[in-house]
Amino acid sequence: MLGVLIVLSLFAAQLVRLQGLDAASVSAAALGQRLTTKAIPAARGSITDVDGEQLAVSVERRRIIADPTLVVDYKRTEKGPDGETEVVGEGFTAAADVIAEITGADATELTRRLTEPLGEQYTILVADASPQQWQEIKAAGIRGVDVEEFMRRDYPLGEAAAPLLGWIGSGDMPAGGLELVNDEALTGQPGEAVYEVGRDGEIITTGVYEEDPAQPGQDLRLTLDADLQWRAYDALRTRVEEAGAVSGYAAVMDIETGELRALTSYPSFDPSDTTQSAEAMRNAAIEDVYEPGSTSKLITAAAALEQGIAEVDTPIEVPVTMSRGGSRFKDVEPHPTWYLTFAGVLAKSSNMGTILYGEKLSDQQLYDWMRRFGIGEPTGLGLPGESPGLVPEPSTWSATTRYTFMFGQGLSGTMLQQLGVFQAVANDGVMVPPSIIAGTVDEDGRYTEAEQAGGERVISPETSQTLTDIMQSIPSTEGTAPLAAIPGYHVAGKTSTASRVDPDTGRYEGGVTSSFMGFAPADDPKYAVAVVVQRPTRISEYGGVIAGPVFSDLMRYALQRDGIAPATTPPTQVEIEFDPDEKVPGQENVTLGDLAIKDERTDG
Amino acid sequence: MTTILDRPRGKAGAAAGVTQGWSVQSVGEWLRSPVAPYYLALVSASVLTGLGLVMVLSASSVGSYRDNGNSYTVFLDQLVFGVAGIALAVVGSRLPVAVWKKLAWPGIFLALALQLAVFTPLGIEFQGNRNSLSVAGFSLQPAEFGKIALVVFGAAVLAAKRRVIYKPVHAAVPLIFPFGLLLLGLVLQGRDLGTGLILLAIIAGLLWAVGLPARWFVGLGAVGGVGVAVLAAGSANRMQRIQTWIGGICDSPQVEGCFQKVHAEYALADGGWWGLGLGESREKWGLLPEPHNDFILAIIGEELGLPGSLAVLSLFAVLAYACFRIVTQATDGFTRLAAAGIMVWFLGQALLNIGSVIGMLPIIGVPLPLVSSGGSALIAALIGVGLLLSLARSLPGADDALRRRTGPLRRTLAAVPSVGVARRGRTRPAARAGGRPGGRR
Repeated sequence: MLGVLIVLSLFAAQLVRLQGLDAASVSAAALGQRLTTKAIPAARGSITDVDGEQLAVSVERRRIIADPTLVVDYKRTEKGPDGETEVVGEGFTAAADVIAEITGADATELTRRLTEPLGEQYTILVADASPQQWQEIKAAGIRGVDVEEFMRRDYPLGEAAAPLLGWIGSGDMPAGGLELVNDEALTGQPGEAVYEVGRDGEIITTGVYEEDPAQPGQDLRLTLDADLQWRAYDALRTRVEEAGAVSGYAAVMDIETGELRALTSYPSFDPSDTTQSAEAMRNAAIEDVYEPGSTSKLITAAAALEQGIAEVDTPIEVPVTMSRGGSRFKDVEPHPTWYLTFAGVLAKSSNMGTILYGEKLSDQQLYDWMRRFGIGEPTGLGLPGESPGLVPEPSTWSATTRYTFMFGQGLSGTMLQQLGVFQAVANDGVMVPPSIIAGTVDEDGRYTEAEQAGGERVISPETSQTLTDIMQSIPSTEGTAPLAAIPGYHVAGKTSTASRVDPDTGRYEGGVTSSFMGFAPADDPKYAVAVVVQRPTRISEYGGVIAGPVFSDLMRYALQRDGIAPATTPPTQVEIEFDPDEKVPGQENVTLGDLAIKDERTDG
Repeated sequence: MTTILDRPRGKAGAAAGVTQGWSVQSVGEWLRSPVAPYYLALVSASVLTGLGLVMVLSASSVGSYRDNGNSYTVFLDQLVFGVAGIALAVVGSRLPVAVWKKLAWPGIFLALALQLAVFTPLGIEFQGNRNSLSVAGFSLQPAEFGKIALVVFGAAVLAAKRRVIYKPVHAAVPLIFPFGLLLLGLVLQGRDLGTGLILLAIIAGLLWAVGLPARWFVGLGAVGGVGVAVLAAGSANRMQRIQTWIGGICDSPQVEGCFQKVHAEYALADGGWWGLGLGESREKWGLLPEPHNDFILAIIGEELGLPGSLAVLSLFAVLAYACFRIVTQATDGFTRLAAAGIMVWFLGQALLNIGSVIGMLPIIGVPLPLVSSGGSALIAALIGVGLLLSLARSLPGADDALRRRTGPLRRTLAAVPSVGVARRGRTRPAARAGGRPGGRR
């Protein structure tokens, strides 16, 4: 008895030491063994269209992982008909079957992943499963099967907006597009949870749990309209394929604000596929430069009107051919001598007619007007990779550059730069830089509007009105681009069929660039639309034929979505041709033909 | 005598170490009474069993949920075994000692038969140990019943040979040879070292109690010590256990062989002075192995603090004291020896278990009697308690005194708190005046 008491006393003393005197440091070590830290990923902000429709959204996903050394002991049980629990399968194959039934993965492949794990105690079974699938797997109670959480970026519009939005590459790093430019706002602040875990990593519910919650990123609201964006992409893709073309771009812009409602290019890429080259993932709509061709005649015409060189009815006698700078110029379609007004030259897109009045401008004036309309510098859209284009300075010009400049060859720019010219003309002469980001929405739903650059007047309201009047005659059933017309609406627009430089050789061997740009309704313009198709090989080469129908489709869709009423008055008519024999009013002996600007130079 | 009979309700309080206003003198007087061993054994065993059930529920809940999807599976099994064991204990406590004595030979043969059955297809091999039987869906560990059988058998044969015990042949036959060695051999064959040690201790304890000369124990102890040293040195596993015990190498659970020891220390340290609270254990979340079995004391210490773990030690001390009183007061040889056997069994096993948990002994792997989970161990231990109570009743004057009480109903009501509170209120002033003159505050 005494011995028992002595031993018990010794034990009691040891207990006092373990639980009392030495407890603090040992307990701290014990806590240290149990504590684990888990990062709580911050939800990346969504990118939405102007109405809040999701364009890029992060969704919670689960990666199903496993420790094969534990899974091997798994026994799959079922209640038999007699109510007894029966083992119906064991080990890897049974576990693989269960997971395959839930996720739809291939059971053989799952078994292989268990038998040939990535590490001794780690293998990835299902790389991308839904949280609900994980709950079902968890309920199956396979010891050793665990989960990793991650966020997957989904792009509901897929290819239609991929080059614009960008994508999330490996390591959750944004790669390109708006995802990259606005990464700081979109990325939140990751949080952290510290808690005690048991043997299998389960949270000890009675233990320490401290959480520093994650701060989700801000949502980005674009000026884009998801429906319009999709329609633009779809129509463009169809047209590029029909025409056997290399590529194409399209944009829809709000004239008053410069906000882009759609900006797309084809071919595009699948933003969820990470195995493609960066080359294929460029945003061609803002990175590709091309020689704009006839749409650029709008600048020459505006300059002539602003400089007082010509008026809308200035008679111009366009010859069959003419020589300038040692080269012979002609129009796209052969024609006899044309007696066109200034308006007619623009409406019929006569190269020679343009040269005839344009050559009254000096080299510097031509150059300055180009730059004034924003050609040769980035539009300020703020997307990565935007090209400034190239407008050579007059000192570097060859003998013919001056003339080709007038009808948009010998310089290069992007579609958005060209569209900007139309925006300015449509907006009473005030150019507003294009924008794509409307604002941000923070965690609490507060909307902060993005700062928008102000507009700048480039031409007078009178000039813009004159040009609008002239351009109304083009996309009409009687005009040169009837396919671009929209029944019931007055549309102003301009075709272009430009010689295309082959990007590989640097020579004019690349076919043509066919485009159509314009705005509507002409009397109170709401939208400007640009459609560009590179190197069409089928149907036609003409911009009005290739790009016109896409333009018409998009513009009509945009106008009708906004509920803009069709025109009730007939369109403004301008005189396209003149009668060279008609007497000039008030001057008996002078005919219009005498006054007309003609090719009087013989210096070739 | 009359004093005692007037105050039957005070025994529970005295056994639990609470004076309830009794004076030191009156408590001492009661302790010397013939019924004290009965009540001390009854109360300490009951509290240990009750505490065991509560702690098995707490300690097993996490593991049970993980393995069975139900936090209560292990506990409900234990509860069923507990109820069966308590019924057997009640029956056993009412059996006259003479009947127990008659069970000696059938008991030892039954125990041997069951132990042999382990090596038939009925036996179950688990983690290299072959020490259980599968009976009607339950797993039965015959060695646990072997303990009680050995105690009864040993006490019976040695009591008969009391006068010739100085002759080595009579001391050894038939207790050691053939029955003791057979049983021990079979248990060790099943690789159950812990139970083997307990059986060995029971045999030695019985021989000591019957009065075998001390020089025999010195000799046997020397032989045993050398044997243990040879066995230990011959096995890397055993050497490692000794190394982790006294080598001072366990400063983290990752050190090989230290996992259990260090996590037991963690549990006790987490509990600290006052414990984390019932159900709040952290180490039971799959970290400390066998939290509801071999290491249940660590969970008691973690959840109930130092008061909890020291209470377990105190309860075993009280149980030991009850056994000791029976040994010293018994006039009958069988009673004396059987009580000594029970004492060696319960206390030996308890000390081995507690010593393992608190790092003062190598980890041997025996359950804490009456407390740890395990149906066979609990039922066998409760049968042992029944035997102990039967022995206590047979003490001179005890049965008489117990019979004069008004019966089970009165004894049951005595445990109802309201009665105790009323009594306490009435007796407190007297206690202050007598027992603690200065008062506490």
